[in-house]
Amino acid sequence: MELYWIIAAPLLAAPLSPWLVRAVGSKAAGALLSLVPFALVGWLLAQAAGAGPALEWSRSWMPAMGLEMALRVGGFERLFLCLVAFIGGLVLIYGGAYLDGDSKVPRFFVVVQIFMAAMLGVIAADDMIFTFVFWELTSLTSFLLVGYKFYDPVARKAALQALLVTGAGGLALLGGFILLAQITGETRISALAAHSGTLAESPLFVPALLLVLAGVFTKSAQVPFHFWLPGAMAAPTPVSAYLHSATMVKAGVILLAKLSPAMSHTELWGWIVAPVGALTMLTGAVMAVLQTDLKRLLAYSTVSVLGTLVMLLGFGDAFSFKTAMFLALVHGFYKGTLFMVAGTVDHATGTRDIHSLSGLRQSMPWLAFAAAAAALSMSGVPPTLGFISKELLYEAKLSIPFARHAVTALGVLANSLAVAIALIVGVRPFLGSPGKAVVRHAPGWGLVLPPVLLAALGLLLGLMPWLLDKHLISPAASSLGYDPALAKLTLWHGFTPVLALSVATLVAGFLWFKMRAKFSGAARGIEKIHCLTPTALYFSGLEGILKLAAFLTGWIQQGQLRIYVRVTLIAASGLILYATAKVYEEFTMLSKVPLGVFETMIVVVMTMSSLAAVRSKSRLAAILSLGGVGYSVAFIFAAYGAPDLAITQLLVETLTVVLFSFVILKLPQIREISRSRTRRWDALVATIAGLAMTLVVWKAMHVQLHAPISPGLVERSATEAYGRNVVNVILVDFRALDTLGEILVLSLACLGVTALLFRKRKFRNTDDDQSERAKAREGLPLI
Amino acid sequence: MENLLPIAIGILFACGCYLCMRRNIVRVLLGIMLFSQAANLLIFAGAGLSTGAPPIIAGDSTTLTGAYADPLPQALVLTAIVIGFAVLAFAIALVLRSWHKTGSDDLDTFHKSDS
Repeated sequence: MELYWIIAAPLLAAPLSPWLVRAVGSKAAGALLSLVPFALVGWLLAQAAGAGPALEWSRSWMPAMGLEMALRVGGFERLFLCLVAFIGGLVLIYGGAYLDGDSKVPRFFVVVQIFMAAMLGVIAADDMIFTFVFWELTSLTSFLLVGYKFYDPVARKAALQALLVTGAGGLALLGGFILLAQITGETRISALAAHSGTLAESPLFVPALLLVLAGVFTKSAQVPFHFWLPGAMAAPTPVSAYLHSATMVKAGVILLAKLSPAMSHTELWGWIVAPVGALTMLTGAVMAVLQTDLKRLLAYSTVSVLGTLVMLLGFGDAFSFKTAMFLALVHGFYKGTLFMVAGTVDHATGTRDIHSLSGLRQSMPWLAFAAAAAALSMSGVPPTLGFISKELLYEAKLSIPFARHAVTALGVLANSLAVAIALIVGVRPFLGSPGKAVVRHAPGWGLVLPPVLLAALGLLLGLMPWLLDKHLISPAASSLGYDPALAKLTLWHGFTPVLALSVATLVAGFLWFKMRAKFSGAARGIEKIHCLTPTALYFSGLEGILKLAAFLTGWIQQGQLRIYVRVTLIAASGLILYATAKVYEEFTMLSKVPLGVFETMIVVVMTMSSLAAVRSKSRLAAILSLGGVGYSVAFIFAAYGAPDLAITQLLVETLTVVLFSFVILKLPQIREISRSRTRRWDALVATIAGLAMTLVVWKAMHVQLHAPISPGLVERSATEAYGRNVVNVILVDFRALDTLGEILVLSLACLGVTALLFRKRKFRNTDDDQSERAKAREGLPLI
Repeated sequence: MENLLPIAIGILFACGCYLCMRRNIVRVLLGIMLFSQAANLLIFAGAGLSTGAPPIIAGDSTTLTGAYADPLPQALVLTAIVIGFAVLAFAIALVLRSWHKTGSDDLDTFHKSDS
């Protein structure tokens, strides 16, 4: 199988989905469509067993710029491709059941599958610009999915916010990519690592790194760009489970990991990436405990985990890297489960408020099992995957070269809050006696099977972590050059300080859970201060941009022709005067053509006539002066070797004067409306424009930048085109297309004139309509 | 003549520009006409004036001999003259129509009568 099928398969399945939904209903359609990603996972795992070198595929895209459509699947890519495709398959099943009966289901399927293709593309693409294309596609599809309920203004606002934040980051990322390509001369991400020395020394490295990080941090919801993620919870839950916990938000982490071999050895990397990650980890955890809505709670806890991942990558050592890979996988498992559980609870009871949910264990036992398994994994209770990842996490934090105690303490705090969150989301709604919220309708298999499957698989793998280690995690680390042997994925690490930390975390988490009611008042205060700053900045910024745009539009687009003319003339003359002033010394007085008496008189007549046209207050005088100008121009043409032009000009001028004489009496009187001050300003602008025009003509007469092409035309005129009048030959033969265009313009003008004067307004029958048509007809014979 | 003609074209252009900035709709129409004459002359004169013969090949020869006027700008200007006429005819029809419709010759009042 060629590698491009990874992306092509979901893309091809997407347009089939509306038809499938119509044919077999949305539940069955979801199940059928999920076969595509599941088959992908199977293929990828079969490849993993072979454990050969990285697979590659590429096609030339823009050879002139060295761009390729390059895909590369090594151990690292395989891990994330499996994760994205597997959870994607489950989400298709789940979404089909969750949105059953909604008229927009086909749209959901189409967009989710396009998103899946884009996400797989972000992971597998090796060319930087190719990666960027997929990156932006995930932002766009996320926009469509968050705004799925387009009739809801809250959803629209959240969708726009997510798009603007990640879109702005995407632009920064593009800039960073271009800088990286310029520094190294490579467009392949996998080739950057070989240039890590050149990169670090380049003066462009700092801006490149900052731009790339801006893209990564916005996508992966790092502080201070994290605020869009909780807002994105306006999306339907299957979308939140997929995009905003397991996959899209990890795109930033994935890119960061891919770039880490090339950049993580620099000091700047450690100083920016790790602290931002740590801050995000803590902020997310604290904010999560304060929420009462299940989905927002999960969203903030996702922010926390994303922060942890970024922090681990910021450390830049092999141990932390492998831990990050493992944590990303584990998080996908338990967070995907918990989101789906929250969605099923919402679907069945109609609420996501944690205060009104309890005792659901009796009505939904299977769901309770899934929730409990995921919660155990999230809190890091043995023998789950979460336990192993937390042990590794603590070990990684304890082994960093500086501030290890502070960082570890932060980690314990964040993880104990995660335990509390797990208890709130995964355990609390299911224990106790049934609360206010009652199950209105039991969830179908499509709403229960995916979370149960995901949770069970998580549990199973927790018992056999070496399987994951050997086939997915270790190849992922080693494919990017990190030694995988340092970190061992085992359930039992012995009685170490790390174990003590794990126990302390669980105890502290349980205490947070018990005490959470006590600090809910203070919590609200924190939330206000915290939530306001970045969000308020975003909204005031957005408003400011809109106001500025409205002001500029109102200022430039005043809707008056003379202002447009004035602005255009001033700008154009300014540019021309500037350009000609720079080459002034090249001017010499030419006088090849003598100043003949006849010619001079013609030019003087033309000038006088044009001045008369400006001064004239009578319509008749205006026509006469225009005719004077036109005929003078014809004589100038005739005097300087252009009889064809002179003839045409005479004919057109005569026609114009005749036309004008007929129409002019139906036109309004000429009168001066502007104030004299305006007139003086206009005269000044016009004089400057005339001066610029004079300089241009003068300059054009003097310079010959390129060899003229006319001799060639003259030579071929009689021999090839069989015409003796070269001007005519150019018009009808050499540049016949121009003439065709000219004929088109004439026909269009003719149509326009006809439409304007013969227009019949059938849709409105006013009294003056009749007289108006009569008036128009009076003018008709003229044209 | 190379020094006189540019000045004349400049004056012609300035007159056209001045008229285009007027509020009276007929004067704008006059301005457009002067404007296009100036543009045609710019192309014609910008290519260099020639005292040579018109670019017409004599019957007994296959190419031009001696000094001749450059045929290419002439072809361009010829196209421009015709298109200028088409635009003018359309503009006249438009002015006529708007005068009948709105009864106003003041361009500043036009943005209020959009309908």
